[in-house]
Amino acid sequence: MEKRSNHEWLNALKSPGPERERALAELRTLLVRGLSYALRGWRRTAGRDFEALAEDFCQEALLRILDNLDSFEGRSRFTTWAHKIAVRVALTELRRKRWQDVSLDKLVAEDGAESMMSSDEAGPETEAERTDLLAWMKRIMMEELTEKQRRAIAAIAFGGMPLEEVARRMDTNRNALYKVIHDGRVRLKRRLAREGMNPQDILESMG
Amino acid sequence: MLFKLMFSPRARRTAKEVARLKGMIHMVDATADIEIACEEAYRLLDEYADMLLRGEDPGVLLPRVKHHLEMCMDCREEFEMLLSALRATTG
Repeated sequence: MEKRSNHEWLNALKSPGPERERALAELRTLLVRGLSYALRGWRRTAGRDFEALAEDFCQEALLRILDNLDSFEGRSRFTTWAHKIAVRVALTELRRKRWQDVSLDKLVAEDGAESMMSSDEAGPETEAERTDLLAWMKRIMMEELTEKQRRAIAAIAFGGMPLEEVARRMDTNRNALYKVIHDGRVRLKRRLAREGMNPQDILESMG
Repeated sequence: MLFKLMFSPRARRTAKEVARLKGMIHMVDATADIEIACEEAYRLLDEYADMLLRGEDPGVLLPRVKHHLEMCMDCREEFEMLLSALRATTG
């Protein structure tokens, strides 16, 4: 396989004819090799035919790469940028398949994640809560976080669902949901500071 | 305040609940007022990966990407898979 500069890759892929076909074939070979290797490390693909899986994903990735050539900023090697797109295509599909039968409500309820942030902490503060760190933390999460933030954090941090899949179920996108969760974390951090609580001290006290 | 609060065990409490709470507190502790979200991290991910493979410390030049990768499980997983693919095809 010949070594091309970024400029040569772009020129070859943008010019119709045999040169483009040759560059596309080279890129496909490279992406399939990289992805089939990377998929072996992905814990949920055990027992699958990695190369066949990689071939499928690379087909889609190549279309996306060709559609987005103008967005390549040249800040990395062209092939690194192309691998990044192939990995995004693969993981999006793998995550979608892995979680397709799991509903957000069910996950949050069944995994017990909901109990981390709801139920018995509503109502007046009790004596037990005043001396119980866990109950106190649950209370401030109830007070500081919106319902959307609580559900998202429960599903992601406690239920293990990918951000992307939670976002799909909440009719939003991964980027927007990250910001929602970040706002929640900032609120919790400020509340702890107002209460004179240092997170490191809390962790130490939990052992 | 901390001295008034004890981490007292309750019968209904599970180790899982405690582990989750600790994870949450770690995340809160590591939270920065300003963070980049997934789109911006994705835009810079290839540059970040190339720096790392050249033996540079990308966390120095792109600290917000580094921080995002520590905070976002999805992006961290993508980055690890990207590095794996690059290592298999470089050289």
